[in-house]
Amino acid sequence: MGEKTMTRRAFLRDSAALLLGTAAVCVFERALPPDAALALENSGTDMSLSIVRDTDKCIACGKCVEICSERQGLNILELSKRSDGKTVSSLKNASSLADSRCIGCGQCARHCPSGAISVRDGLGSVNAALNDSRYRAIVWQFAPSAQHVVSEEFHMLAGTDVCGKLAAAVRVVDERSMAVSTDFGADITIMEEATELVSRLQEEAWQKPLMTSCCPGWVNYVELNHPELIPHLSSCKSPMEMLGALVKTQIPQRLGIAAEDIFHIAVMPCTAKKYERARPEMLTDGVPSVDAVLTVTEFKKLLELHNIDLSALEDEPYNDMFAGTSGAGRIFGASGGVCEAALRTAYYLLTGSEPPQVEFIALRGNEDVKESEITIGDRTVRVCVVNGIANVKGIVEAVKAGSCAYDFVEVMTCRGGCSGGGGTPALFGDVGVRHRGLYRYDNSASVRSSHNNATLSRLYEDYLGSPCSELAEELLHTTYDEHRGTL
Amino acid sequence: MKKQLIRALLCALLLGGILVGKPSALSAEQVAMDGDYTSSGEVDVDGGSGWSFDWYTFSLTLKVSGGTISSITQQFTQFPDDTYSDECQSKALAGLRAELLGKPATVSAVDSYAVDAVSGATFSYHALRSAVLEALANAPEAANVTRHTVTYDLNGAPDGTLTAEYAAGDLVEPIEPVWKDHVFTGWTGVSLTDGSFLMPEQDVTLTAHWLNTVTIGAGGSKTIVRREGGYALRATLGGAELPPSEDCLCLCALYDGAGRVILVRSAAVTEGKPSYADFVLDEVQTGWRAKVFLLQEDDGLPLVRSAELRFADAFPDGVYSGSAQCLSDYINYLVDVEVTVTDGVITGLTDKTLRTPMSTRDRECYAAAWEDLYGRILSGKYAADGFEAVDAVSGATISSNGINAAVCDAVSEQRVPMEPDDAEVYAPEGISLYARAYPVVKVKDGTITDIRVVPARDSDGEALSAFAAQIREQQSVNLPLPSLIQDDAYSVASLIDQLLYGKGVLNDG
Repeated sequence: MGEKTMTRRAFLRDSAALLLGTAAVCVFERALPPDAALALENSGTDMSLSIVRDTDKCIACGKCVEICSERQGLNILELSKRSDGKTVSSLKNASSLADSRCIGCGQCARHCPSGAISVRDGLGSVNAALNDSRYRAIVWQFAPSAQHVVSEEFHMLAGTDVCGKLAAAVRVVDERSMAVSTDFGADITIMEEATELVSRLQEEAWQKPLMTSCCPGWVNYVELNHPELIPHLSSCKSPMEMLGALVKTQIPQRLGIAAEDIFHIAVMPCTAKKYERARPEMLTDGVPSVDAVLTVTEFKKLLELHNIDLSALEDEPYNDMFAGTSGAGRIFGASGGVCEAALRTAYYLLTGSEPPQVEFIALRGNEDVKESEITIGDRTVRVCVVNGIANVKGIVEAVKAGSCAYDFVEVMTCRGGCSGGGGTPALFGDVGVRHRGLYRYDNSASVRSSHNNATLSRLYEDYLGSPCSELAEELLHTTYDEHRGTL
Repeated sequence: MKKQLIRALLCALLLGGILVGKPSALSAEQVAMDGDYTSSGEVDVDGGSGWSFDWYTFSLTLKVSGGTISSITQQFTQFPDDTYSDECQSKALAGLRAELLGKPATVSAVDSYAVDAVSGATFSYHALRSAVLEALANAPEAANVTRHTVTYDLNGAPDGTLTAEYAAGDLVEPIEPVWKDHVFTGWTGVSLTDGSFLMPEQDVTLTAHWLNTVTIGAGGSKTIVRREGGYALRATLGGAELPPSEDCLCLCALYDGAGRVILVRSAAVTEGKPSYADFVLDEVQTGWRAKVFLLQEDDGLPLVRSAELRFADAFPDGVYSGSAQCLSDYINYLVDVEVTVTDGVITGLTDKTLRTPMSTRDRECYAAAWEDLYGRILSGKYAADGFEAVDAVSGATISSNGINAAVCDAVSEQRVPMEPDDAEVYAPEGISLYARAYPVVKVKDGTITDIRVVPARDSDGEALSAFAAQIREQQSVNLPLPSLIQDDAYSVASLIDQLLYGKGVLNDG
């Protein structure tokens, strides 16, 4: 007979309390007037995979409403009175983020001064993984823009290239770390997307245009608001997910471990990536391609936790597996970069020769809508770059009406592209100050087009076959769901 | 046809007869000759159901003596049937007499004084007034009445000069002008008897004399625009605490620009409300200061209070820039204004503020404060010299104080009008959790000419300004960060980098 853990009296007392409590809750819930129910909804926290709202912290400064309606054109937030009389930022015509048309761009959180809207935490799962000896390898991938924006968090001027320091930093954080650059993922994206573009261009009659799918905020926007546009979206996964699929297939082969033994962290300038990571289409062989997404600001917090001053570290190289990257992959971080990189490769694929000029200056800069015509061989390719989701409406209408004249359209949700993403520190001036670093890297890169990336060519030869091959389709392409109502 | 022609001819003849037969009327400014003049009038109101008085006619006698209207009398020719009409006409006549008796016997005087009808006797009043005008118009012009001008020179007060016209021999009571912070002490230019004088047969110029009042114990110092020669001032002692005059002594010391004492005067305190002591300084010069002391015994202990005046040149016209920091627990931004001064008065105000970071709510408060203060400062004809503050707007006190302080700053001591400035100003818009200090950068011809910093803490201001000066000298933000203010200096450097990116200004490209 073991030790008596509970007396009969205590059991009766606890059971009675439990019953009474349950009854009280039932009565309370039933008796709750509609106003009080609304108040309960309004107070406390509400979260999506990207964003956390806590209206109790709101100071009604109106910044989020301004950003959401004026800059992003989404218009899902408003200042309204809660039933307790407090004026707070609330959702228009929706009681929670899950019911709203929030695309998770995170600009509201980026500009919230009081923490009432914040980015959904990714550090918890990362810290858990770092303390978990089950994982044999911790793989970190750094977005093109993240490699230049993290510098701002460590007293370096905006746009400073710190990729060498990032590789060194994660090896200090954990000795199992492997550092890779999303530039490689971007290079594959270009190979796949440019191939897709070229094949569509060569079709006799095709519904113009082909639209990029790198930006998860834009993909969410299409699925939630304009599902008619889904056929126009490129079927390519984003660079992060493409590289994720390769990390979870190539590294296990190389190291002789299982895909489950790898914890894959992506450091991104983006909050919508936190949702993209969790999409069911993004599994590779049943495991998530990316296990956690950290924003640039979260990554800074992680380094602070480990007492690492990034600016004091010596540069180290990335792990060699995906180390060969091109300048085209790096400029993905700037608005217009995807389009520019795709044109460099599309030109080669269509004509078999390099473009006379790899810089497409007309596509650079911060204008809301940039358009250009490029003569490739005997055909003219019309491209358009949209900077900020508020500026996409005209093109969406044109595409729906079938009157869009562009062949290729790049859309980035945030102003300035990834460099101005919701996971980066707020920026006052020209976001071009961040692009400065990206274009500098591209100018000095020995390989400037994705199709000249030797590591990537070898990967196609050894493993994937050719762009848009069956294996590539399975690993690197995805589908979209027009019925997905919520994040 | 014939009939019509005849009728037209008759009309023309009649009209011509009227025009020719009528004596030439007085013009508006001509004074009627002394004498009695009569006219007649009627109150012609249809005594329908709405009116309880009746039609009546009257004749009016207007007496002019010494060029002024001395009496108005009225006789009924058709007496009204009801007593109400009687009441109305009495009321109207009393009102007209009150307005016109003693006034110059000119049409223009009647036009300017007898304007508003007596309430309750509107018809009677208008009928009487027309009759007075008619009587005047029929009078011949006074032969020898010429009028002369009295010019009031207010001697520095904002209203400038005023004029009035009188006939020779008129009794003139000069006006009593008012000027803020001054006491009017009298007129010179003519000798007054019991506060008035008889108008001579020539124009007269009166010059006002003022004492500047200084309230002892109010603290601070006041800037005075120096006028030629000496200066008189009145020290007032504050109404609430009137010391017995024998218990205290008032001294005035005059210092030159280097702080040397030029002279010391003492004066007795004249009791009054408030008590005061007057001083006359024979000569003052720009840059000198006068300090007034009150020495008083307070429970056996000497008590000394003082006030100070500074003498300066007249405020030069021009545009002045000023700024002030609005700072409280959650508010931190710079207010920038440009103040236009014309003839020493603030005549223009331009808001340059929204270039510094403000929250949406701050911006709303600021806009409310600006709208209100802008109107009041401009309509108040405030002298640029010694502008202090206008009342704050309730609910936007900090913004109001900031605007007041910025205007004060603009018209403060330096008094050097701004050069026409075509420099471009860059400042971050919006607020950030990451920025610790905000810069405002002026760029002219591709060069940083000025950097101002809004620090998070006042104590860092100096070190940050030094860092900003270094950025300006080097035209580069790629500088080592000063160790004690590393975060703040980084904010400044990185924000300038962001603001000026692509402008071709910084050496860092």
